[in-house]
Amino acid sequence: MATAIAEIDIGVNLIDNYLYLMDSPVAQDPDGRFLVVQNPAVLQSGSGQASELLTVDGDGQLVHYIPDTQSNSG
Amino acid sequence: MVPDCTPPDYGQRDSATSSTIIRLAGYYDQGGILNLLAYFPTSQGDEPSCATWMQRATDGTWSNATAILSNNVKNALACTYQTDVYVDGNGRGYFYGVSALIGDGGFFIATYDAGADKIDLIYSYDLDDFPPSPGLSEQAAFRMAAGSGGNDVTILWVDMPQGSSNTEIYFQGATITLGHLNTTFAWSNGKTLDPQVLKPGLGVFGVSDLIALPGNYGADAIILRDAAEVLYFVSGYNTASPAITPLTGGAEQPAGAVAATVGQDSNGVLTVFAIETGTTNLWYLQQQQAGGSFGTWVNLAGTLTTIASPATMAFGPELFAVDLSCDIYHQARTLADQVWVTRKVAEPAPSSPDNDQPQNIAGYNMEITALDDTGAPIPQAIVYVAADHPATIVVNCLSYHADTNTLVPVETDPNGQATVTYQAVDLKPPLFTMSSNADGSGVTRWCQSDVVQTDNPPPTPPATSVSAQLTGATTETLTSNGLIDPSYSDPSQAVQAINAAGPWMNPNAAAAGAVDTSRTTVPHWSLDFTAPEGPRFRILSDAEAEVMRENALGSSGLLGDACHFFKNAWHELQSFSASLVGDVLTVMLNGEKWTIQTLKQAGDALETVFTRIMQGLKDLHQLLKDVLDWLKMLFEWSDILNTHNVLREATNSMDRDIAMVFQNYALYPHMSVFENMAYGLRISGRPKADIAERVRAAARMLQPEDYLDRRPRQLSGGQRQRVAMGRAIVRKPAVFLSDEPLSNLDAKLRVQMRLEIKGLQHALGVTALYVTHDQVEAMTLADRMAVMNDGRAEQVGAPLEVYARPATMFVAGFIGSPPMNFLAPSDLTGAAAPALLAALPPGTAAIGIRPEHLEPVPADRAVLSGNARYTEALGAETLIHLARPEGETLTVRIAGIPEGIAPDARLHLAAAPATIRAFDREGRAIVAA
Repeated sequence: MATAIAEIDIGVNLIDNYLYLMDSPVAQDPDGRFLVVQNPAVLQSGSGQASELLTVDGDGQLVHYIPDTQSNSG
Repeated sequence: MVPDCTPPDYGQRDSATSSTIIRLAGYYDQGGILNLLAYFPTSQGDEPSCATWMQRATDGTWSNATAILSNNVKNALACTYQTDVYVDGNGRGYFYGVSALIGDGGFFIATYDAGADKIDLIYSYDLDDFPPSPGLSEQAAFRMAAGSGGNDVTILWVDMPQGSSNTEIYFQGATITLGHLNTTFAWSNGKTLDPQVLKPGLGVFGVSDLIALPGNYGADAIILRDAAEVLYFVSGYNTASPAITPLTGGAEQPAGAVAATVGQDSNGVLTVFAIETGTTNLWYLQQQQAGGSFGTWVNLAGTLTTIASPATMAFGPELFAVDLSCDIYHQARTLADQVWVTRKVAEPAPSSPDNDQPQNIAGYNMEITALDDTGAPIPQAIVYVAADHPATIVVNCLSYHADTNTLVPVETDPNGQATVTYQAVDLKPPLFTMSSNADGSGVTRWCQSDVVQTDNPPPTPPATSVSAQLTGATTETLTSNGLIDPSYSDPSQAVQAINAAGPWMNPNAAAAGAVDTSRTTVPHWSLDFTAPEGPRFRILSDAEAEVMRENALGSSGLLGDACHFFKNAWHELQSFSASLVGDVLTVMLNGEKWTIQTLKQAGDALETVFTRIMQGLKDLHQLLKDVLDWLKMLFEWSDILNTHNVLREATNSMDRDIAMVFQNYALYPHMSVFENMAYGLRISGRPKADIAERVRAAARMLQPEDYLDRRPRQLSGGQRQRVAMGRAIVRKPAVFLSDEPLSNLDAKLRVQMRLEIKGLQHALGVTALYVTHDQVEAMTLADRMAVMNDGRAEQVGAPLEVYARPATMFVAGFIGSPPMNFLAPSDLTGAAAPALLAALPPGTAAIGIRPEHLEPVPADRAVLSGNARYTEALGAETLIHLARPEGETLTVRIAGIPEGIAPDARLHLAAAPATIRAFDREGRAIVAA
């Protein structure tokens, strides 16, 4: 392809504001292991998403989903 | 039985069993430390279990804090049957549950003392001697909830006494006195309630059936789920007569709840989420106001297995959910706009090395579009991507384990787009760099965007109306409002620019005299509404302005893109909407948001769009014609499909190797002749070279070679039909199906194409089924024909066989032009009629004579006579139409141009007996024995 690229548009989508700390996302039947916690400091500041998720992945390992504070629109 | 899980082993996984975490309990304390208890199975099975206490510090590091637990706390926390956490209205957390290592099994409460950096056991008691209700079984389920009436907390427990079939529910208030290392717990004796059965027949409860409300709810209430999975709201449980109300509301409601969760928004309103029994749909139910009654259930659909919601839903109802595909979603509804926003948090991905601690792997999706100088997308362009620290880069399903700044080539698709997935270590996104050259040089640019799935994405108006901010604007007010970038050297230009935009932007400017209307020299500037600190003003260079304008409008223009959509992918257009809120114009096209972010851009955009509309009227006119072509084609298809089931089968069966040609050609209006002819081959995955060869071979045969690059609308009818036939030919099918392919052509072209089709069919040697109402086509093209009437074949045979010996009067009248003459035997009154009548087979009700079989004869040899009404001299033959007594006509075909037949001349006619067909009363031919 000889055409010169004048412009490259790139959109980076951090998987939807949540960093995901992966193995596989969640174990089968995660009841009792699907825990939402909230950081009161974030909650009281009203500055952003305070809810985080702790659960186990398909290998039974602990995974922690937290809001991505570095992601921003612009 | 006390399980094999002794304190020295505490915190260690039982190597003899699975290392899987079976239960989690945790909370953030006021210091921002996440305290987490993770439970693992023992050798006795999943329950009871052993626990690890983990802490996540404010810097994000995790540590195993088990070692600092005292032995009695270890005893309490380990080997538990049930553990949960209660967070009170002040954010203080309490672990509680039933542990096998407290007596023969006992209830405990523990809380983390951040000052002492330890967990303090504030209550534990053997269930056998449990003070409020001694003699509890090990199956007793506990829940801590908010206190009321002077109590700090309420302890709820359910148990079924021996010999009873009813589960009893107990509520007991308590006070907790906080202190450093000596936090104390005390039952509130004065507020003890008698054990009671709230409602007979509720069945046996488990701990998951006691759904506590958030710790700051402020009223004694809880949600219960009975054995039938019906939800109840219990309120006033610290009073003498608690109220229990089934959570039903609205015409539709879940049949039952296999799981439920509850949270409280910033208005104090409770929201209950439930997964419906059987359907696994997600439902939610809200209080109509804080502390008030509940409204109606709403079905959010979905197929979920697990849900959990935060206690405090700061921005509106919110929950996390797992669907049947093990994808995790975060779903929330905005308070103000009441729009549900669903984000996929995670989906299955390759596993990482086994590690006890969380894997700090972050995943990113990146969408790339490569454009040339004109703004057109570049298919199959190569773009090089890199990251500033090691990452796994997935491109086109191939994984690259790239070191720092390793360039990975990415090829764009036919739309000039590509998707790249990054997985990188550390909780920070890698810094992406892009280039168009392998050495890293070339024009590069990148931006970030957060894309979320939204059911009904709301426009985001600026926090403060820009118009309001501009009213009476001065340099000082604009600066103080944060509207002018402080780094800009000449803020007064902002005022000039705003004033330049005219009264639409600042209706009060001129009247207020706040700006100098004579200085309007700033050509390009922007107001950026996306900056987190609010709208910001900035002067743009000409180049920047052009880039921003193109970004706002789309490089090929909004209208151009719309035309592109309609012309090339109109069937893919699923949604289109536009909104103008405040000063922000937002357009949604198939869910893709186009935001015109600045007032200047909006003005430019509108002007450009209107200009393009004017310029594009011709295109729009053609666009409408294309759409009409499509509709006509669809109607044609519909007609075909409804009329001929056999064709419907064929169109559903590419693998049956059948090609079709239609009356209305059914060409794709947006494709060239070549593309139309190549389409079938392309979707069947033929190699490009093979497609080109076949198309050109067919084009040579059908002579559309000179117009392969044209669109169908640029062709005549005959040319279009040739293309349609070419499209069928290139596939080299086993069978051709043609539905009146020549009916739309004029007579001359029809004759020409008829001959071409005949020659083509013989040349190809392919079986063809040809539907026509034109008997000449049928006679000349067919090897065998079937004459259809009312959906059934009246006769099947070779064309001349059918012509000469029609099986029915319908066939006899249909085949042949002019048609066969039908007469009753009594119509034969000529001198020679008696002999002819005597030769007719018995049962003859009607006779048929072809026009060419009647010949003028002298009166004494005639079987019938009549007066010539009019004649049609065709050159090679003449048709004479005779008037019949009943007003009908009798047609005679005579070779050449006969002489001496004047108008109203009396003609006497005869026919050879062998040419006369006899029919019975049902119209069936009588075959002579």
